[in-house]
Amino acid sequence: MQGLRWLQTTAYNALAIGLGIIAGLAVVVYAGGHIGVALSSLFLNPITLSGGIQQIFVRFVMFYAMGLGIGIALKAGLWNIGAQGQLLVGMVMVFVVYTFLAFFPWPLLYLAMILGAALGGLLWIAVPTILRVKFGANEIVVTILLNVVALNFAFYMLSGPIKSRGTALGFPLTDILPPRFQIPNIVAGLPITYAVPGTIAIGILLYFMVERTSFRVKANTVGESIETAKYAGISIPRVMTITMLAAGALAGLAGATYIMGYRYELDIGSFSTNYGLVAIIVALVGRKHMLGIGISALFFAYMTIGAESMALAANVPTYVVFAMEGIMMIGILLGNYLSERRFAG
Amino acid sequence: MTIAISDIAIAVLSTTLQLSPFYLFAGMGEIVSEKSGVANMGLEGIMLLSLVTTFIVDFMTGNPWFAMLVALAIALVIGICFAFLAIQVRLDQIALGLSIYLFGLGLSFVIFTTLYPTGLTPNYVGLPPIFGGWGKVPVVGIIFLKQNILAYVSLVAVPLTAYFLNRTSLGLRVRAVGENPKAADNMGVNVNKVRFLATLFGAVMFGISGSYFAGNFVAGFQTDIIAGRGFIVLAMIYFANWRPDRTLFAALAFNVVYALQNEYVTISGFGVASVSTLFNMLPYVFLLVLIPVFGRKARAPKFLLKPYRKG
Amino acid sequence: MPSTERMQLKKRNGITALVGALIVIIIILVGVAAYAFLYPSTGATKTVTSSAAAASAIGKLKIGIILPLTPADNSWNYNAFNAIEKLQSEFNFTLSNAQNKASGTDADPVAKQWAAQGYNIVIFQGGQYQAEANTFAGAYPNIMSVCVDCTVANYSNVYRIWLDLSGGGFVLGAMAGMVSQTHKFGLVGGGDIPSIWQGHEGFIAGVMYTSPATPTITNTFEPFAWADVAGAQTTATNDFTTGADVVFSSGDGVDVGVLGAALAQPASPQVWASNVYTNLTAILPADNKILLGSIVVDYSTPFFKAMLDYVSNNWHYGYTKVDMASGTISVQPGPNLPTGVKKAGLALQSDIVEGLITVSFKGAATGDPYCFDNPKDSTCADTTLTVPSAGGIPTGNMAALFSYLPPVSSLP
Repeated sequence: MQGLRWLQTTAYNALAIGLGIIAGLAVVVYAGGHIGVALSSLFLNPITLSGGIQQIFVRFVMFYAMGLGIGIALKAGLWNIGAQGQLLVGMVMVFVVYTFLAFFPWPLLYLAMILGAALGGLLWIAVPTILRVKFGANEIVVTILLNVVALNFAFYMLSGPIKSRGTALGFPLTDILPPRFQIPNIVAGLPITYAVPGTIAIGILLYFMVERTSFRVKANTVGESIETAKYAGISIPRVMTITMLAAGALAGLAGATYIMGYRYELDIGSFSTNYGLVAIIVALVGRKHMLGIGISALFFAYMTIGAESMALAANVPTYVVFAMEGIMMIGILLGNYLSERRFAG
Repeated sequence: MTIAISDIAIAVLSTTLQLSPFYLFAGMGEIVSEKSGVANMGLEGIMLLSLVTTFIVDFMTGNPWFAMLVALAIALVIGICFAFLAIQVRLDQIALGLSIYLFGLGLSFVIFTTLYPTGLTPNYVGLPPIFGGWGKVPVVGIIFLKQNILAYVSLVAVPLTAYFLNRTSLGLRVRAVGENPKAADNMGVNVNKVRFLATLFGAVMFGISGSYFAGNFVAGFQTDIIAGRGFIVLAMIYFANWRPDRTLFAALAFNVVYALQNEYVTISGFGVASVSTLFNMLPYVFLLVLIPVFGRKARAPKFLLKPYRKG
Repeated sequence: MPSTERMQLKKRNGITALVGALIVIIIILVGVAAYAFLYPSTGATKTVTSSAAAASAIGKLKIGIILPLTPADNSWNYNAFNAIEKLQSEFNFTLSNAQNKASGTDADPVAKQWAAQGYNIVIFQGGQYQAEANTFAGAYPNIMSVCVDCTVANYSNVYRIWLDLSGGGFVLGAMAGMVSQTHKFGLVGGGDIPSIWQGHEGFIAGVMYTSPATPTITNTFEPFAWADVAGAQTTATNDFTTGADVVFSSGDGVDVGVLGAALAQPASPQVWASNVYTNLTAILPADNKILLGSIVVDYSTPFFKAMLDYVSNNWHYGYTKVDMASGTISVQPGPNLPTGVKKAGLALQSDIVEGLITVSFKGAATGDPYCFDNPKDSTCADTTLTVPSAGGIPTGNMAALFSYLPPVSSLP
């Protein structure tokens, strides 16, 4: 029965995603795009376009890392809506370390940049965590607030403390990271960086730490009912803190992979990508499972790149991809509901 | 540069009154909705769609009232979809809300850019200031009498919402359905219908919010024009413990800080551009700081986010 | 659940799954079939020596331009777009444009799309694209990456067009100094970047040169708000209400805001506003009285030079400067200015074009002007400008450096 249910849910998800794609196609064709070009861009461009494969893996890493964090938090019933803000802070922290700890010797500095990004995300979620654990303040509200603050904070940092001394020309831009600060490719020539196996490794590690241990049950109990958790003697603050902090750190780490593995610089265009929101969809599609989220992340990486390429080819703003994602998410929620309903009785 | 403190104060108060109605409409709508147990996190999506509809219809017809009407119709349609999915189908309200936000974010921008690819639009015909020439009277006029009718309606909406929730029988039912839907059901209240109406009310209010926002913008529709300020309403309600009067206070306080930092940045003519963005954070940090102070006693409606199933 | 129901359920579930998978497969098949509608192949360019051949070679090019805003700004974007469109109608090359790309990250997908479609030249219209223009150039060595207002070229296929507004600013400042009654001046800039800064310094120098009384100068750089019409309008209004009667503005939405502020002022006392690049017929009423003058930038010449260099295979580490001395920047005085002031401005302009007056800035290691990086340096403080009575090299603390200035009394 389990396998059949899984199959049905996947079918529903596929339908939902198909619906979203059709909606996007409709917009593109309405805006004057050629349906053939649209379809070929959507499905084939991520592989055929130069740099497409690199982008697939970059986004896969980001969606997987953030999705893992959101998934862990969701197990405990906590929503990390602040993934976008933590991502931004992570990106900023890479350059904060790069600028202010520049006297570190190179290997240490490199490591510090990555850890600093994770730390940034962790610190950014620390405030909502404390407010939730100590004061019972709803973490959704606080993380949303902090998203907006993070945007302004990142803008401020980009205009001042981490602005490039030499090449920015006064624009809000950072230095460009020289090659020894970039995440290298595994095999020269193939655009897959070490971030990919690194993130997969983290996913597998978390799978064993979360899915296969008692932590999963503890987190689920906290998520389902606080009273039951108290009765069972589970330390609720501990569970909440661990899950939230992990979520924040993972989101910050995603920022490091983006900067050090792809863009090598930070500008305001990276602020409005809304990857943090898409990561929520990724986590939901992955059914909050540490490995399922990986597959979901790969799929969404491919799909978002294809959709953006389709929009570009038809001269439609790439914002149409957001609308597609919104429709997909609703469809996925509906699909989950429908499949659960069949098995309810 | 010498600008009198009184001038600054007048400008700040005037701006506060201009900006607050946006938060007040949305706040009242979300309060009623959440009191009945349904949280609508897609409010910013509805606002964006309402905003873009207002712009476009206004550009085409030159009639701001008709534009608002169309925008409200669209907000209502989305509200119906959301309410149905959240209440009858019982999907997760948070995920649903976020989807609507994404949908509204994407669709609004795409629609606007497709219709006006160069960004060149006809002039926006806004609602006229209701007090006309009185708005030029120094001090009192500039602060209080410059706005259009919606602004004053929003101020009236605050006590009206409080009265509705606390003193009318429908308001009682709304609250009951959010606090103890089982008991309400036993008393014969159609829980889901009341929630449905409350959510629709919220959606319409978000539509008015978005429509009002159109009057505040000179530059026209840009990417991420509302920039998360719709979500801020959720924080305001939380801090205000779901009370309309405290929400008014929260909205005014937030906007005073916002207007203050805006004035300061303009006046001091920052040669160092970066510091002004630091000040941009102030209103949000201000709200954040208030949460542990006032939000401690915040008690959400007991059955907020929990769908109700009969029997 | 009884077994028949279970079987029915299984069947239903199976069918649902099948339908879902089928839909996905169909869409993929259609996509693959539609692959036949791929993009047209690239066009090759030839090395040419004669101009008729050059013209036809340019006609075969595919050129894309990336704009930070839209041509509706009637300023920076309008100017560039207008120029390239004029060239397009003359030479008939393929032209695409991408608008509202606020940063390099936003421009990246479009540039890559064009690269895949075989474009020859991509124009990045703005210094904010500097990093992106270079990264793009590195990834596509056969595409000319034109970077307008950039200082860094890491690859030989980066072609830089640098903007120097100081001459234009200086002429406007000189006219402003002559025409102002209150001797108070405001400047509003769209961002603290070297090219805008140079224009401001030129204006300040011009004011100090001709102002009969010690001028009061307020220099505001809007924080990256080229599109911020409202903010610029507020700042300019502030300037006007605190006594300034001339406001200089440089760029984009800032121009629109400042001109709007000037138009909103009462007719008397007379105020003035200037602008850069702007399409004035779209902004000002026909009988406008407030225009001090406009700095007009001719982008057609540098764009054409870039194209010519490309088809002549002469484009490695290409660089061209847009400034008053080369004739690509000029000042158009406002219609309402007193005739004497107009004549003086134009006289100074022709001095600059003829090379009698040169405006320069001390250089810095980064490529920025020295005083842009070190505004507090004693040699950079804009406090005095003294011109010897017979003309000659001015003295005093000045960020802008002049080779020669005629005595003010000699100006028409």
